[in-house]
Amino acid sequence: MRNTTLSIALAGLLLGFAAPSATAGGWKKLDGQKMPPISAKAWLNAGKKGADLSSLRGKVVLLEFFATW
Amino acid sequence: MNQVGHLEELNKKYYDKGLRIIAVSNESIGLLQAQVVEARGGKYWIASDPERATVAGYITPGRRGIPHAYLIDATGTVVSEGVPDSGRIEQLLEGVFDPALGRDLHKSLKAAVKSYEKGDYGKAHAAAARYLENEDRVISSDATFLQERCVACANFNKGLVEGGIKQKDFTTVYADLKMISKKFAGMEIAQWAAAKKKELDGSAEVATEMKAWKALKKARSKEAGAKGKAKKLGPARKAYKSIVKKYPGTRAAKMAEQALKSLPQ
Repeated sequence: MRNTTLSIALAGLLLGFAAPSATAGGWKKLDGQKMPPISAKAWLNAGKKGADLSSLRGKVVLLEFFATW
Repeated sequence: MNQVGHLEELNKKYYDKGLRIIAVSNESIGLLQAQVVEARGGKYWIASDPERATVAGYITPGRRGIPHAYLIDATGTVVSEGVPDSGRIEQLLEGVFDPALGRDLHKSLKAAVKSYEKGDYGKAHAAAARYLENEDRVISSDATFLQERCVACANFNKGLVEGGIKQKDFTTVYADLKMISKKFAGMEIAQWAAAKKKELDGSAEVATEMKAWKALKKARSKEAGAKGKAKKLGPARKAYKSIVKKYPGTRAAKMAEQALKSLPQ
């Protein structure tokens, strides 16, 4: 599974974003829409007060859903 | 663990150019601290979301498939999804205002530079103005340069506001206008922001969009509360349908329609 994921990731880096069929798996097509809210309460590396999402304004954001396994 | 390694690489490479990485996992904060921050030195934002409240906005309930990334431009708009691509990231970063001055300015401008680095561009612009006619050419040239950077930042933010208006994203537009009037006080753009706010305040279309957006936020909260359980999605479905019916043609109605399509039957 991990190798498959890595292969898809490498292919994506070479070819641009992977074809939706390769990674979509139920993920919503949100192109052109505002980034849906991030409502997690526990954060790391985001300062004592937690993540200030307003500070992302004017920045390019890469939002990744992941797991450590 | 390979899937988290590339995030730190991207973070190191592009953070100073304006990329912000947010990694969301449904694992515990303790595990993420040990596995990503301590073991891999991950310095980007990491969110622990065991209740899957965030992911509900991005994936059809009941479906899984990680890793999966979304790339969002400077206006907060999703531009692509799937696997992060360096080329696309670089392309988007070209349009981002880089606040770095790139060189040291004359010590006379210390206070102005300090204000600039704090993001108080109006104060920096005013402080630099006092040195524009200085006899020392280095000082006057540096003062001009600093003012130009303030104006460039102002123009970038003006672009964000205009983009937001085009997208009918008025909640963000109002927040931007408030920020501009504070950070660029005394500059021409602050007057522009005040006039733009007045114009929007008087618009019936904007008022409707704002009401619809508020309703959409509530509907999304109901959807997140259902945690993907089809039987519990009734209130969210009803709320989305109400938005479509009550606020036709609005941005929120379009998003409510899309949300309805993605809810499991």
